[in-house]
Amino acid sequence: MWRLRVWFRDISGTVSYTGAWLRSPNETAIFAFVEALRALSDAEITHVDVLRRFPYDSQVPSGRDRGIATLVHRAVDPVDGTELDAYPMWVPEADSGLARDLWGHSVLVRDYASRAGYNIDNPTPGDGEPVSLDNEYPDDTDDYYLVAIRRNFWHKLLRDARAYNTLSLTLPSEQARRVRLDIRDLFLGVPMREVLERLDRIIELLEGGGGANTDEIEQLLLQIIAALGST
Amino acid sequence: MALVPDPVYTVTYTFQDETGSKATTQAYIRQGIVIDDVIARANALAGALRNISNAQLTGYTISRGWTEDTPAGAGGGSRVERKGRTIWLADTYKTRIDIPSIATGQVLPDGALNRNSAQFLVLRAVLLTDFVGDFTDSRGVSLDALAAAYESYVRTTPKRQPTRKLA
Repeated sequence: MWRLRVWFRDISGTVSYTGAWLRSPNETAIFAFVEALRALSDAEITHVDVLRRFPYDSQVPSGRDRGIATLVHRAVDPVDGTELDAYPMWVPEADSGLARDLWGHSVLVRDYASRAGYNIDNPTPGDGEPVSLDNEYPDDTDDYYLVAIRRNFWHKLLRDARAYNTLSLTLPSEQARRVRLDIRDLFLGVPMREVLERLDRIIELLEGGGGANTDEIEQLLLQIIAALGST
Repeated sequence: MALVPDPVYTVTYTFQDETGSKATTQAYIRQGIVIDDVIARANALAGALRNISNAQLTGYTISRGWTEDTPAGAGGGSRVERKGRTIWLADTYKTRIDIPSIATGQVLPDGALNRNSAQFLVLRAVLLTDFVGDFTDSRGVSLDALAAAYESYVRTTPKRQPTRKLA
């Protein structure tokens, strides 16, 4: 059954929803229900959603050592093919080599979109750029996508990054640290490799225990601050 | 004032690794295709994700949303804790649909909702006669009668409170 939820907000700003069960997400029925509620309530309706959970019979989980594969795929205007958006997707417990083959199966070649609704039609095996994690940072040929994300789409990626960050909590600490650094870097829009190289070195030094060279750590931190443009 | 559809269906996949830790990832399918095709696409991607992940894919949720482009504004004195509680029958089972901040004009002096008001008759028609078979209880049995309708109050939950704090 589909669960329909109609969200209300009262004069104090307090929100609440009411729900109904539907056999199918029939838009005409949903709108009629919403309008009936609107006439009966003196709170305002802010949004409506309908959802359904589908159980899936999958394999028994094995291992927790493959990290997360993250792919960023370009999304285009369905009319003229202009690149307008980026579509990030991450897959737990998958390496990026396998994830590159995610798209392109006969059933997966159309109707997928970025969150903003731009097409990622006609993806092919190997399409989409792996991003970080799995210790696989993008090479020179991949930078185009990262630059595009930083300049134009980082906010979309960052919104998803909240889930991404939650996911990082399930990882071993070292991989989780890399995930969080990526998010921070994307947020700040600074050259990723430049910052990460310095942070990696700092981490190495700190993990070295009592023998850490504090002068070197201080110098590296100052370089990062300069790279971030802080004063 | 209109409900504007989100540009996509959102499909949220849930994974679980061998330690029991859970994670989700999302994919989006464009609007404008029939729901059976959306389900087919979501299921096909589930199969592909299962094949490349070591984790267990426990299921997925398909959701679709609409946002009010210009909310009408809440009426003075409206409080969502004041519910219009309606109980409907599906065969002999009962299912509940609450109306947050029920308009005071819909409540009779004895606390019952006015079942004969024009507004309430519209709701009743939508659920029972205008879309026969669409509205059900959680088991999927169609609603077939109204059992009760009255005013009720619930407490404010922290999650639903506005973010601002009153002095």
